[in-house]
Amino acid sequence: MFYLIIEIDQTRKQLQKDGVQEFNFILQIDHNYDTLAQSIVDYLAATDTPGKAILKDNYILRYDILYSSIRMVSNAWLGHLSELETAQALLVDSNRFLDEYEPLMRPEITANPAELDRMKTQARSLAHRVYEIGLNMFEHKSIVRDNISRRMDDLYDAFWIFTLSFLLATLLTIAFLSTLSRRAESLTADARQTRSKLSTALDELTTGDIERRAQNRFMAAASHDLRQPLHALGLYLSALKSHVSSERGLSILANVNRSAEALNQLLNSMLDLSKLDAGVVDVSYEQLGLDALFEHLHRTFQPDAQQRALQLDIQFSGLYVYSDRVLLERILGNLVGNALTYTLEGTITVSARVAGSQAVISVSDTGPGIPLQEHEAIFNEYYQLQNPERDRTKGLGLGLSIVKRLTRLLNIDLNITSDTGRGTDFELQLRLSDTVSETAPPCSALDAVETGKDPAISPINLSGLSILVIDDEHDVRDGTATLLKQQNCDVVMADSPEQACEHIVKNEWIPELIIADYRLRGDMTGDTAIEMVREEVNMDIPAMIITGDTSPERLREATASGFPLLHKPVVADDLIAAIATKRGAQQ
Amino acid sequence: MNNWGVGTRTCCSRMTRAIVTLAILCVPTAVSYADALPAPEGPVLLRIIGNLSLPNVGDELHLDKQTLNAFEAVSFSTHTVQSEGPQYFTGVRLSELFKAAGADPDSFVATGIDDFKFTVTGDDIRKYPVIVAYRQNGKDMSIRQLGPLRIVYPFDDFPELKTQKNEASAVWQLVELELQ
Repeated sequence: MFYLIIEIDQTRKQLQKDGVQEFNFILQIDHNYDTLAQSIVDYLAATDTPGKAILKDNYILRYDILYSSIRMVSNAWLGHLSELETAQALLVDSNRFLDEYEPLMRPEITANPAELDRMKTQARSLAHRVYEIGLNMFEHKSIVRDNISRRMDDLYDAFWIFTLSFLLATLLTIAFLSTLSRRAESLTADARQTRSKLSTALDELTTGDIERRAQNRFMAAASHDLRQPLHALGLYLSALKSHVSSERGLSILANVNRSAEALNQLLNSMLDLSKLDAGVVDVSYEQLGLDALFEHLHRTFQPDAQQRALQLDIQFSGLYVYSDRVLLERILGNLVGNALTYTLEGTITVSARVAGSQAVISVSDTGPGIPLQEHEAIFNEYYQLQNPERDRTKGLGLGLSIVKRLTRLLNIDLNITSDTGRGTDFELQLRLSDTVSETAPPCSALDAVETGKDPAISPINLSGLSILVIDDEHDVRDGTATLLKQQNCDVVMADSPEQACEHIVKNEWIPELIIADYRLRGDMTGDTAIEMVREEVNMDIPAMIITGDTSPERLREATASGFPLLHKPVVADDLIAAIATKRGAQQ
Repeated sequence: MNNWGVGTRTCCSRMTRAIVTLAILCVPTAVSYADALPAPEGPVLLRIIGNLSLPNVGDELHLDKQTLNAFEAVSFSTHTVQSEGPQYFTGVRLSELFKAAGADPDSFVATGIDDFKFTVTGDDIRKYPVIVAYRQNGKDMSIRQLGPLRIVYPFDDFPELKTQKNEASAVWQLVELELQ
């Protein structure tokens, strides 16, 4: 493109060189020759003497003009035309013409007409030659001009092509760069993602999170299966008691029982913890009456408190809160249990009060207190103060870590006020229930059946009671049956409601009580089984459900069934007491 | 200074002339001549026609050799395209001629005896001593010598004047100036 520009410039300069001057000069010479020729013609044509005199002056004038233009001007005004051969020839011939006819061009001479005529002809032919030169110059200029326009067109085309290709190139580059940058971005994003995943994985590896989570998931799933043997163990141990007579034997059996108990607690706590960590704990909020909750606490822990010679002071407040029943019970249970374990003498107080829009539940004791620097550590797993020998009767040290998780899960603020020698006060802050519904929530079936070693109950006599036990686990069935048979009950075992009905029909035997496991074979639930038997007999036989499930959903389902609920592993005495209560209620 | 001579005047035209003169005097273009030049007695060398206010023949201003000589003579030496070496020219400043014609044209057409015409434009005529020369090297110019009158630019004294346009404006064998 630049080459084109240079060429055009050169041509333009060349065009300028054939300037106006040269062109005008050529025109002028042509004109001068013509007018000279014409003046001679006019003179020769004239007939009157005065006219002729004027005309003679005229042609002399014209000759002089021609003379001046050839002799005085040509060299300067021809410019580069003087390079032209035709122009050079013309100059030579013009000069010769001037010389030849100069003598004729005097005022005092009367020129010969023939000679004048010859002069005229020559002038005309020279004029023609000048004209030709002018024409050539003009044509040449036109050609040059066409050249230039053509070059200009080429230039425009080149320019457009150049611009378009430049734009195209730019667009392509932009597109290319943007794809590159996008790819770079995505790569960076990938890298970042990978890096974060990697770091998370590393963190989990180093903190044992992966293992713990795997463990938790395993535990949560295994919960049910783990409870079954323990439940059976408990039952068998109870049955064994009556067969052991020696003091030594009884003491050994008591130890075995204690170990089984410890194992129970361990299992419960660990399972609770893992469930919480695995996030499989379902939370369902409802309006709760604190009084009912406290009543339950009282019933649960009063015997223990009495045994330890401690005061358990439960204060009723009439307050209602918005939280999860089961989980809140567990929190309070853990706190009270801890208090009982660690307080040597004095009182454990459970109370509630209003603070703004919140309810504050307080569990305080007169125990040794927790030093300030231990306030965080006590919530760690397996951490226990004052239990260097790991006395299992003091629990496992999981209680508070469970409390911590549960409070976090339920969005409850937990505060501890304590110091060495000043006792301990745990405070829970939770949402007050805004409206109190007319119908107070039904008392959990838990309340009715939970460990109530009520001293008022008369010695239990279950002899002759016909009990139907439905459980798909052989050992559990057997264990329960063994225990109850010891009580002289008429026990029939069945692994399914179908088997039970078969037996009933075949033997025309009607049970007075049905004890069913909640989870039976083939997705059958305990309450359904009970209903089936009831239908078969067409009687509303009293029944209760024992369940190894502690998942809150199952608990709720089971509770919703309306039957009293017992939890595996069930302490044998509790089972017997519950049956007695049930029987008593019937009678 | 200049000596116009008296010449014949008519009485009533004196009044008109006075008014015209006053009017002209109000115009900032410095036209200072009160009267037109006298009509030529010898052969007319130069005709000034067109837009002028002080004619002496009809509505044209004709000048002969005598009239031209009466103007203040301006002389300088300069090279020309036509001749070798510097030439010494004497003539009348064009701006003076215009004043005498009662005009201040922005452009005019110069015509040569060979019927060559060129339109001269621009301010150079006003600013520089561009002359209508009637003597070259102390002698009158014949037609063959590109006279008797020719427009000459002081190219030597003022090199900035030497443009193609001005070279074309230096019309020789000058016979007529048409003011616009």
